[in-house]
Amino acid sequence: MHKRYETKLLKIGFFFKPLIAPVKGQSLYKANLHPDEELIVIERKDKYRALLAREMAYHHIAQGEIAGEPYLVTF
Amino acid sequence: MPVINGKIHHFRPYGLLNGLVILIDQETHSLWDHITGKAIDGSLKGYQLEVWPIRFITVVSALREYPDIEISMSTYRSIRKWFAATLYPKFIHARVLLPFFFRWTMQSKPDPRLPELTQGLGVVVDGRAKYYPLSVIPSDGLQDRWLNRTLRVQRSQMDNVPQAFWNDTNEQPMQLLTRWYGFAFTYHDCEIYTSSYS
Repeated sequence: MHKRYETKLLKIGFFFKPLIAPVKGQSLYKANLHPDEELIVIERKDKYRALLAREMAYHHIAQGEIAGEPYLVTF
Repeated sequence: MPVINGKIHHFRPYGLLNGLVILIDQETHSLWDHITGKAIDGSLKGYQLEVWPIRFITVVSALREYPDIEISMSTYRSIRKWFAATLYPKFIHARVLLPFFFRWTMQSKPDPRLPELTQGLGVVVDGRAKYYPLSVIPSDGLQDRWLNRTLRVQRSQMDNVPQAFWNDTNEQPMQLLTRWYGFAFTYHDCEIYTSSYS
């Protein structure tokens, strides 16, 4: 399996750990982050959830739930 | 959306190909393109996940536009995570370096039409793709006739991040803020927006 990609696929997935996000986030307003901090934002049914971009540089994947629906954010 | 035939699948990074992360799902061990959401190998090869746009934004802009927004922060601590966050604290307008080992994974040279680390907005509609380099998006935005519709690309006044909307419905097509090399490896035949003034 996956032989087509063997020559160029660098298997470093073990290096990274997905972020399993809790169903309920915390208020961004109360998180006391720097105003210029960069976020990745998803929206579903007028609900908004942010992830820290610098954390996603490591995790690459965040999986959780928003507005009752599962989501997968990749970076 | 990580749902396949009604069941949630669980994903993790598997490796790098063309300098882009390849995912694997724990349930079938299929490999997935993280930009398109399509399975590229394994028993689910060809399966297309439902995809939504994501938005890069700064905290100050997010609080202004979405006052009730919540954040999910990682509680995981490791040297690797610290190293990654230190190496890449910013993405939107930052000059970033391509880690040397990314090149080992490239199946060909990056598309030479633009410098490989050009930052821009990639828009994807029904398999057609177009790239809007940040450098050609004016501060007051642009309108582009594409696929027999008019696409409006505007920049946020607070953080200068672009977003694209269809003029007729105000809906957002699938889009991502991304470096050129990754977008071009994913959408080989993509168009590039060029300003009539450039």
